[in-house]
Amino acid sequence: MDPLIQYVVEGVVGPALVAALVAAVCALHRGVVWPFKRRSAEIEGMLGLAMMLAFTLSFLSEREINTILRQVMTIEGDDMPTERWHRLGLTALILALGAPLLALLRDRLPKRFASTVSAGACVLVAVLVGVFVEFPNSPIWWRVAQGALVVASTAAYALAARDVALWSAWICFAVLAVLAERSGFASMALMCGATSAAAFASATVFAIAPRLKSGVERVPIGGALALVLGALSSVVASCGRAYDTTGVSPWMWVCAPLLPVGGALLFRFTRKAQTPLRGRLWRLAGVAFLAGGLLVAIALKYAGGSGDENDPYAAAAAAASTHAPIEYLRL
Amino acid sequence: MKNRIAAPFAAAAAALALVFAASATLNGVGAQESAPAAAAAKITLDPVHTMAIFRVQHLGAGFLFGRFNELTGSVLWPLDDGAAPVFDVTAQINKVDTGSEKLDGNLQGPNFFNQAEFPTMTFKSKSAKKLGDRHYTVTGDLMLRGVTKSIDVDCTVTGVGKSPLGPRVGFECLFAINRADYGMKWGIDVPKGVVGSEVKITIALEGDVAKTDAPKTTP
Repeated sequence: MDPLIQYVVEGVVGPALVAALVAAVCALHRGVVWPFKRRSAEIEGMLGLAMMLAFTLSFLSEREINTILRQVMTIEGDDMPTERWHRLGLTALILALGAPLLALLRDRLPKRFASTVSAGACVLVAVLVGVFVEFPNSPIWWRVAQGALVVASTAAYALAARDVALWSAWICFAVLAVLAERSGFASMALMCGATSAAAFASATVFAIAPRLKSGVERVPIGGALALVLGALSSVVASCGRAYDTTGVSPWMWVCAPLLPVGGALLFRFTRKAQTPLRGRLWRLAGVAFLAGGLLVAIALKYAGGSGDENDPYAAAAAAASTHAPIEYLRL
Repeated sequence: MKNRIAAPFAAAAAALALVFAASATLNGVGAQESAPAAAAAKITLDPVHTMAIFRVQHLGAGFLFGRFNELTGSVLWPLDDGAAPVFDVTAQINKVDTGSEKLDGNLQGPNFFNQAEFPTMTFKSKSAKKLGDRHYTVTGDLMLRGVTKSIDVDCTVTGVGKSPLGPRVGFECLFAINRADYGMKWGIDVPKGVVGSEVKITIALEGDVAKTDAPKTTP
């Protein structure tokens, strides 16, 4: 198999298919799987797990499991250094486990505690991210901002209507992939591409599932899914800013995890929409509008070119899909 | 009388001691090994005329060359070639230069040198073996991306010239590393065969002899 195709299959397509499989099982199976009591909690928890799993699998398609393990323990005979950006893998893995747990907690506790549990979990994750997820060139004020970004991004996802959260994640992580590629971080572009593809595949599954079977629930957006998507996109943005070597503006990194805010941008049209589907489309249009603006800003920043225009391989790499923005052919 | 008898033995013992001492000195250093001499001159590297170039295979096809533009450090070496040079050289990763800004960014990024976490690459020599006139195999520690490994460097003194500041010395050092040994694995197996694993490095060093170390006799 061609190395490029193999790279994309292992790093993007495979993880996205795993996420889509989890989403399909969630959407189409009957009843509620123990220990969940409500189907909406089960779907949300498992979708959160699927999204984080896609990122983790993409990470592991490139790096050994030791890169994650050495973040938390000493491995005998391991002489490789601990690299801080490998905490992305650890973060995604912890969030993958955290999503079903939070959904379960909300499910098991009385409904009146649901909002408090979600808000508490969000603050806890924000504090943990600020304290433990430390990247280079990140002074204390940036780590505080990093925690605040987790809260803001989670709120942006939580305010999105049902179904729109996954489509927003598709757009948000695709933009993060483009930013990562522009800043010379091919690995992170691949992982964001995988998460974006996973969100797209899962959203598609939930869009077509009602045609295959009656009584399929729409994607719930209670707290777990919003939290894991918001936390991961914020940590990825913070990591990208810290390792950027090509001068991508920090505000671009900060804006990317906040793109779901665009769902509220066209609220007049959303409110007047005659069907729920149209309302969701208007919300998504707002997210896409913001993403388009950010992509135009990125394109304008690099309008001068990097001097590689005559390189046919570079042109081929630039033509790669949104889910595989790989510049590796350049080196 | 006693002294007359003892004197030849004492002389013989002293001669033997000298022979053993000389032998021990030779064995200790090794027949061809050369330790840095105490009278070595300190050569401070001139960043403008000191550079490292590296070569790595791309997509299994051609070789890509790049350069580290900023090297600093010093070399200890007696200008009469009485001992091996001792190197202490540091390269700034953010000065890597391939002629393409995009490529420089990729190389400085986490997939390759990870400049944000490991901003320098250093080489410190530990021992040396003389191969010929002004030609040595220098063994030392290369620290790259937080990993330190012992490597052998083929090192030649390319010349001793004169500058307004005094004697000026040049060296050329060649070595190869497997970049995976230093945790730089991207592009070897995943994605497969994009960038070669072996990196050949040539370092051209040039510097002035510190005035206090200037030799009284030129070679």
